[in-house]
Amino acid sequence: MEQPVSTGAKDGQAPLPIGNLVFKLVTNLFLLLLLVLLGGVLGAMVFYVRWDEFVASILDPESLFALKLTAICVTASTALCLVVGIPVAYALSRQQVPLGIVVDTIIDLPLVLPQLIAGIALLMFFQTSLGVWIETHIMGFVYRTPGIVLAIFFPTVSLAVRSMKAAFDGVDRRYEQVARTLGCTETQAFWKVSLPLARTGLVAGTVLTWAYSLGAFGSILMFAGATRYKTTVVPIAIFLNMTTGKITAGLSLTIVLLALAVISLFAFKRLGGRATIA
Amino acid sequence: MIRICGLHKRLGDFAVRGVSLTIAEKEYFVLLGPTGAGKTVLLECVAGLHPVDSGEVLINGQRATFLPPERRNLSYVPQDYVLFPHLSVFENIAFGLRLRRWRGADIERRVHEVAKMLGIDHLLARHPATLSGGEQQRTALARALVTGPTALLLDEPLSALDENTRVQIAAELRSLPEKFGTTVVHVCHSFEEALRVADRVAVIHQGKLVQIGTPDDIFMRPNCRFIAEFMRVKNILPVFSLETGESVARCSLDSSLTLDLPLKPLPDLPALLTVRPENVILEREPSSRVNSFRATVAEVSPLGSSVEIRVTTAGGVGIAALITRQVDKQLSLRPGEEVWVSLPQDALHLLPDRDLPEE
Repeated sequence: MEQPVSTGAKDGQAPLPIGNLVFKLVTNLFLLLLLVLLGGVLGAMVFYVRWDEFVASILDPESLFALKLTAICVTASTALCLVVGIPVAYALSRQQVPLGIVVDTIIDLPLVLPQLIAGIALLMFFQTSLGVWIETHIMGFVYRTPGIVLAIFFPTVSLAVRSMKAAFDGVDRRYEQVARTLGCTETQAFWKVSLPLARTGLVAGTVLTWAYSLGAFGSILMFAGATRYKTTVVPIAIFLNMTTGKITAGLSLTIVLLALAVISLFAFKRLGGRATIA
Repeated sequence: MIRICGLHKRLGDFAVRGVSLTIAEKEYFVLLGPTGAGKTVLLECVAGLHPVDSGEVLINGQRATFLPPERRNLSYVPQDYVLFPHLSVFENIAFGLRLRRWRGADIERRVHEVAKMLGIDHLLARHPATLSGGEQQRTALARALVTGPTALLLDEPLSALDENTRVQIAAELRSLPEKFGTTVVHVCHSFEEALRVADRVAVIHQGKLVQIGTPDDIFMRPNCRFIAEFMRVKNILPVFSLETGESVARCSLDSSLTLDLPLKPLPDLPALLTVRPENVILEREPSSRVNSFRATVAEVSPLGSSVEIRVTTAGGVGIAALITRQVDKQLSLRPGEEVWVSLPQDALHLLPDRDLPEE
C-alpha cells in the first residue's frame, strides 16, 4: 500500500502528512495577510497625525462638543437598548414565539439594512400623524438632539437583543425550573436566578452595543442632520471635517473612535461575550 | 400522598402514556426504567414543570394538575443538582426560606439545622463550584428539604457520583422519609439502586407503567419478559407443559425435565419459567433436593467476585448459575463435566410469555 508522504516526525509523535501541513500553512498565511492589511490600514491613519496636532485637535471646542454629545447620546441609546433588549432577549430565549422566523427576521432587519435607510424610515415615521403627534405633544426628535438617540437606537437595538439573547441562552433553564419548585414565580425566577446568572453576558452585550453605537452615522445624518454645535456627534464631526479639508481634526477624532472601539471589543471578549445572529 | 391518574404527556422524543399510580405518604418510591422510558418526563409533570396533555395529578387529595410548580410544595432535585453558582451553600439552602419571607434568625437556625442533619454544616460559607459530588448532592438535598416539602422529587440522584459515594449517599437517601417526614420519588435506571433504597418500585417502559410492587416483587416475580430481562434474570425458560397436582404444580421444560412449583394460580400457556442464576444450586454429587437433575457444564466464566457457570440439560435446556469464588474452588468445574443442578421451589416463578403485560 502506498504510504503518505510525511515530514520527519520527532520520537513519539505521529508524522504530519504534507497535505495537512500545506493546508495549515495556507490558512495561516491568509490570517497573517488579513492582520497585516487591517493593521497597516488602521496604523497608517494613526501614524499620519503628529502627537501635538492630535492633542490640539482634540482640545478644539468643536471636537470637545462632539465627544461630549457622543458620550451622552451613545450612553442614553445604550441604556434604552438595555431596557428594551433584556425583556425581548429573555422572551426570545425562553419562549416558543409564534411565527418565530418572521419575528427573528424583523428583529434582525436593522442589523443588515444600511443605516441610511434606518434614518429615512425614522424621518418618514415622523411624517405620519402618530409621528407628528409625538413631535407636537411629547418631544421633538427630527433634526434635534433627542433624534440622535433615536437614530442610534434604531439600528443598534438588534445587536443588543442578539447579544443579550446569547447571554440568556447560556443559562441552563433548569436553574429556573428548580427555583420554581423552591417557590419562585416566573418573575422571581427571572430576577433571582436568570438575571444574575446572565449578568456577565449582559454586561458584555452592553459594552458591544455601546461600541457599535459609537459608529452610527447614516441614520443620524439623515434623521438628526449635521448642524455644528447641535447634532455633531463624532462620526458627523469627522465627516464635516474631512469634507471641509480639516484632515488632521477629522483623523484625530477617528483615532479616538478607534481607541474606544478597541477597548470596548477587548472588554467584550474578556467578558466572554457572544453575539450571534441565529 | 401523590396520585397520578391516566397521565399522558408527549415531549419531543419522550412520552408518558396513560400512567396511573399512587404514592403513599412518607414512602420511598422509585420510578425505574431504561434510558428514554419517560420516567423523567413523568417526574417533571408531577413537579409541574410541563403541562400534561391529559390525566390528573393529585397531591394530598387536592387536584394539582394545573397548579404552577411554586404552588405544589414539591421539591425537585435534577440529575446534576443545579445548585445556584452565584450563591453560597448557605444562600442556596436558604433560597426557599427567603421566598417564604422567613425572619433572618429563623433562616439561620433552620439552615444550620438541616445542614447539620446532612453533615454539611462546615460547608455553608463555600460556593458550589468548590464542592465534591457528594457535597453538592447533600447541598441540593438540603436546599430541597429545608422548606418541608410534601415530597422530594429526585432525578437520577446517584448517577453523577463515584461508586463509594453512591453507596453512602444511597443509605442517606433511604433515611430521608424517616428523618424529614417526607415522601421521596426517585427516578433511576439501575435496578440495584432501586433495590437499595425503595419501599416500592414502578417500572416504566416506552412511557407506560409495566409493573409496580415491592423491590422483592419486581426482582423475584417479574410479570413479563421485559421486566425479567431488565432485572437480569438470565434464566428465562419456555414452558413445555403445566399441570396442577394435589400439593404442587408441575411444569415441564422438555420431555425429560419436570419441575415442582408451589401451588399458586398458574398462567395460561405459552408461559415462561424464571429463576435467578444466583438461586441455582450446583453440586458434584446427586442430591436429595427437590427439582434436582443432572446436566453438563458448557461454559465457566469468572466475573470478578463470582463465577458464572452455564450448564445444559440432557434435553438441551441451557441454565446459568452464579456461584461464589469459594464454591467454584470447591467444585472446580470444567466444561464437559457432569454436575447436579437444583432449582429451589421458592426461586421459581411462572409468567405469561409476553414482552409486556396486557393493556
